Amino acid sequence: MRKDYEIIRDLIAENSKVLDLGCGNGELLAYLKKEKNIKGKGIEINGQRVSESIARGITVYQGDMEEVLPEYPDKAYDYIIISQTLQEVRNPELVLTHSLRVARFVIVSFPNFGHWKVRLYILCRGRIPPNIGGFNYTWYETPDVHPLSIRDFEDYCKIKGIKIVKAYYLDQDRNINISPNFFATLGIYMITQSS
Amino acid sequence: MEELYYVETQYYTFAHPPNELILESGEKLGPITLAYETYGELDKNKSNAILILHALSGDAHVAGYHKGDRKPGWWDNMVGPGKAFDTNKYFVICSNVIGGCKGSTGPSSINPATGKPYGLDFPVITIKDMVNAQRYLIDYLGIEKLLCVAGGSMGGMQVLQWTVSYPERVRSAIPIATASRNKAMQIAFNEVGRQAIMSDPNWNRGDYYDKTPPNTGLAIARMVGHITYLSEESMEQKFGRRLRQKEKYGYDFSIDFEVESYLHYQGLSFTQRFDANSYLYITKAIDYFDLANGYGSLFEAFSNSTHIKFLVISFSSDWLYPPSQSKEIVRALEANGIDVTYREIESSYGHDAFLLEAEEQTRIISSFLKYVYEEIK
Repeated sequence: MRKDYEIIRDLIAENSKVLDLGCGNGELLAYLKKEKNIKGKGIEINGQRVSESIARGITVYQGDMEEVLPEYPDKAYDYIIISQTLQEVRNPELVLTHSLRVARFVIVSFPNFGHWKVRLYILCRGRIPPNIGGFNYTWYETPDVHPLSIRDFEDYCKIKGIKIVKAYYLDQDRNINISPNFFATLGIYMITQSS
Repeated sequence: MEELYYVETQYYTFAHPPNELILESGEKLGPITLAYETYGELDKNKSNAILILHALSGDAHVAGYHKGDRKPGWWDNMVGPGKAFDTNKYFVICSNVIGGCKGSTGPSSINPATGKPYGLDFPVITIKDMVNAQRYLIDYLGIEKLLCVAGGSMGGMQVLQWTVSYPERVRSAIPIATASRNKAMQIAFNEVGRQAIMSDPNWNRGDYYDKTPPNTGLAIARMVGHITYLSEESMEQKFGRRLRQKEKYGYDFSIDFEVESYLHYQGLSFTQRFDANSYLYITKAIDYFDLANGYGSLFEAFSNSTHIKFLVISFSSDWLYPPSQSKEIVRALEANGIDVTYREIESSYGHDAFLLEAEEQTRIISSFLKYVYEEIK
């Protein structure tokens, strides 16, 4: 299993209620159901992926998370997972704010745009690198409308009074402990709204 | 490919006086006959029964062939061996609604009090009444709990009514291309249809069974209805501005365009298979449908249905029962913490998509049913 999914698995308690924003083909929720017996639900905008999730036995809502999340009641879920999706949404602040309201804990992972290769590429070539986040997108194709770095995210949490419960930094499958904003390609956080 | 298989319509009669069915209006109806068909085998725990509910012009003949027929049942692309509602695995039941004209008691049936067809003496029925009548059939078949109730359009309304009226009898529900209440535009189209029928002199206040029926009115009603089942895009693709068997405009009021010819054909062929009074009664039942009625809100209506698993399906180009109305249902279910999956299928077929988009519906419905069935096994 993917290293980031294993980390997410270890963060989640058995039998908990989990909402996966941008659940894709339902792979992560199916994995968590099997490993942790969670009661899961996904939100996904792409119809074909919704069908793939249904084929995995996942409960899923086809639609726009930015439209439906504000309607969910407070603390309806134990965990909300935003796995490599935050940088793709139109309004990341709305998604984070409501996620922190709707779930006790929010697990966020995103590709780190502060990685040294990104910095070097822009510095040397003066162009936006094509493979940010591990995908070969040109600037005009990329769904990543809000690229962010590990430092950006941690600053944001500090400003908004969001408590970082756990943080993991990965380069592919390797844990990064030193200068994560420089060496990690992926950041994974568990956060909560400190009261 | 699976072989053609033959089915026969069966009949169940109940609610004999003095134990008539009390209708929502307060009127009594009895005896009641329901025409129904079944497919597949009931398993030994009677846990694999699926009730399929039909739409306005449907009937009990959902799949397979009647002896001598060239065309199969109305949802044959979805119901049968190896299909979405797989009759190798599930026991499928479909019955004609009360008020209908395909074997169940309706305005064209003989009124035992007079020995003549009911006509307008038939009481006004509602979606809830249809479901109450079906419950007698399910009791008669010895089924304690249905694995699933499923249907599109008015069939979806019956699905929702089942989950609210008899939640303890239902494990899962698939309402398709439907709504929790008929809204102003939907009532408006139905009223145009009813007025077309009632303005036909042959309607004769519903008393026409030994005379010429109001075919002109019924055909116009069907033409209007049929437009609402299509979409701007599908009509443009299918007909465009193509002329019907002519090179130039006729400059008269005969048929010029293909689309006109198509609607005339749809209207005419409908009169050969449907009763005008049934059209009045069933559209009225649809108009009265408001699931929240008597509960305060849709949220309250579902408060006893929390154990039911839902799969709600809508179609992107359906403007008669648009996705927004399916989402209303989903919101009310979610607010109750009910396990609900929502899928909006991309299609250009309009409301009719629920009858035509077999491939995608098969994919999701067969998966959904598989997991529901596995859970209880």
